[in-house]
Amino acid sequence: MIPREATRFLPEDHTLVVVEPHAPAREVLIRRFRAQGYRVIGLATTVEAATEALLHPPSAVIAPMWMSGFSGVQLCQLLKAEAATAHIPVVLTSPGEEHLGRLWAELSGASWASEGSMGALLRTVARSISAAPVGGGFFTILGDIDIRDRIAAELDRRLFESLLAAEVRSLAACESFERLFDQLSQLLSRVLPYAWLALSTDARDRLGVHACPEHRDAALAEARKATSAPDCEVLEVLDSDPRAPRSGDVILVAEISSGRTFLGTLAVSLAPSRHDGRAFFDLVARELALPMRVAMLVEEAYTLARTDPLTAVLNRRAFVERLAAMGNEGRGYALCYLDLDHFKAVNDRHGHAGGDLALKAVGRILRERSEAAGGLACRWGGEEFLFVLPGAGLEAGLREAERIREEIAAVVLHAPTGEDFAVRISAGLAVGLFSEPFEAVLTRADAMLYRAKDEGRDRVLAA
Amino acid sequence: MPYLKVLIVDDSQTVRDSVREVLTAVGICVIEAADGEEGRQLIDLTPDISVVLCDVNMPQMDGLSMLEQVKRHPEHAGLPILMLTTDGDPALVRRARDAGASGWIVKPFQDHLLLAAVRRVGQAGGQRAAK
Repeated sequence: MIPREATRFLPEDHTLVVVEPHAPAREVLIRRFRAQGYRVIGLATTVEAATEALLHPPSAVIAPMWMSGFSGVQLCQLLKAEAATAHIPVVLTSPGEEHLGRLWAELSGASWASEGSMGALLRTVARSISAAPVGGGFFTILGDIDIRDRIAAELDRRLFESLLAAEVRSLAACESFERLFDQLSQLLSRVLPYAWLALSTDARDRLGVHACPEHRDAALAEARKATSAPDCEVLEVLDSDPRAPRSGDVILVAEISSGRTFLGTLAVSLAPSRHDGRAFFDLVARELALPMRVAMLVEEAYTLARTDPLTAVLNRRAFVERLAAMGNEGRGYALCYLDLDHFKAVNDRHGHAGGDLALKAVGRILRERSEAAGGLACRWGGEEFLFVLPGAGLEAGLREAERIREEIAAVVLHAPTGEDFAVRISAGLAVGLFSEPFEAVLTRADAMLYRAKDEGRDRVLAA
Repeated sequence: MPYLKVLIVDDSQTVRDSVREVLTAVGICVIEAADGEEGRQLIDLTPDISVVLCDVNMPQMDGLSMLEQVKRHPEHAGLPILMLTTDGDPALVRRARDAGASGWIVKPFQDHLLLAAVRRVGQAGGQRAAK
């Protein structure tokens, strides 16, 4: 299709289909348009107009927005959906300065003109035709298919799409990637019977995969490839909703983005016979942007509110909450209270940037150990850290604390001044019960920390 | 009225017969193929075809694949092809338009509409060839 602006606009080159149920009013319209030079086909109903437009695609269709039978809005929806008429401008008219009518027309992909002003209508029609692309003359003859069924089917399809879009958008209430993916898979497996569904997040640090258990491995491999997420944390939803893969299945992939922000990738493996599959899939990918954005922002806010920004271990509030939540799981825990040795001297010698490096290194090792041993790590304040090992007694706690002390001492730090240095820690260890107040356990560990400092630092002492 | 030669590609003998009956009655020459592959070969071998009428669901090669292959060939890019099928799925109609079909006719067809459609695209195609 070439833009019509390349040639001069002459009404004589254009045929209009004009719908008006009231015969005298129709005659007035036809006369006015003919006076401009247009060829005009005047019709009484939208059904006749649709049949005519499909058979002989005109340059523009003009219809009242509201009328008995199918409305102008509904006619417009059909014309925009049909290959023969999708490019044809539609001008809808309604009485007066009806703001709702104008909005309705625009949302339907039509232009709007007031019924009261013939001049405005003529200008709108000429402008719409000039701006529209030239069609290739492609036409459709519907045979026995009733145009009313065709309009009704198109309206049903639009309604279904609106409802599906609303369902996908409502996933914004999930507020986490895990719940979002679980609910998305429940919804989408009913719309598109797939072999697997995959959703990766923007940094590709997480990948959700929905497949049936028997075909998990193959699905996972294909999903990783399709979303370009080869190595990341995988959230698996395995149940019998997805079907077995078949030869000839096609993989659809869509980027999910909100404005210029890339949020993730959605991919699905479908049977090729589903030719409406692409349309539904694209709709879901488009509407998924909002729920994805909400989930990412909520997760980020949650992490920020619970993490110490410098060391990336838990902050004090989050630590107390997590420890309280552990109370249901077992009897007791080992608590290690750590403090950097001579931290003031580190700051004095290597600057505050050097001090920050030391704190970050301690944070990194505590995180590694808490992940490896299933513990909790927290920056309690300043250069003081806590490490909790649930279920551990004195001996296991001591072993872990010693290991942490050694690993920290082994880290070589590069100060911005160019000097390499290392830091040491002292720690006090106490074993506590979930049934006693945390403060009491902390006091016992603190007393041991005090003694460790007193006895020359760089050591762990247990109560 | 210019001389028109129409190729009907359809796996149903009944459909081919009914198309032949309508078109030959007004002096249009009709040749036939029973599937997309045969249709494509006939198009290559018959330079004076004015219009192709083509079914969608056929064995060997379906109508849309035939359409896409023929239209990719520069020599046949201007040949008008009308799809003639019982299927009215809007997504398939869009695919046909995008591949360069001239129109989509849903079976069963009304004789006068089929004839008008063939004349319409046949004459436009003839003008294209003459230019």
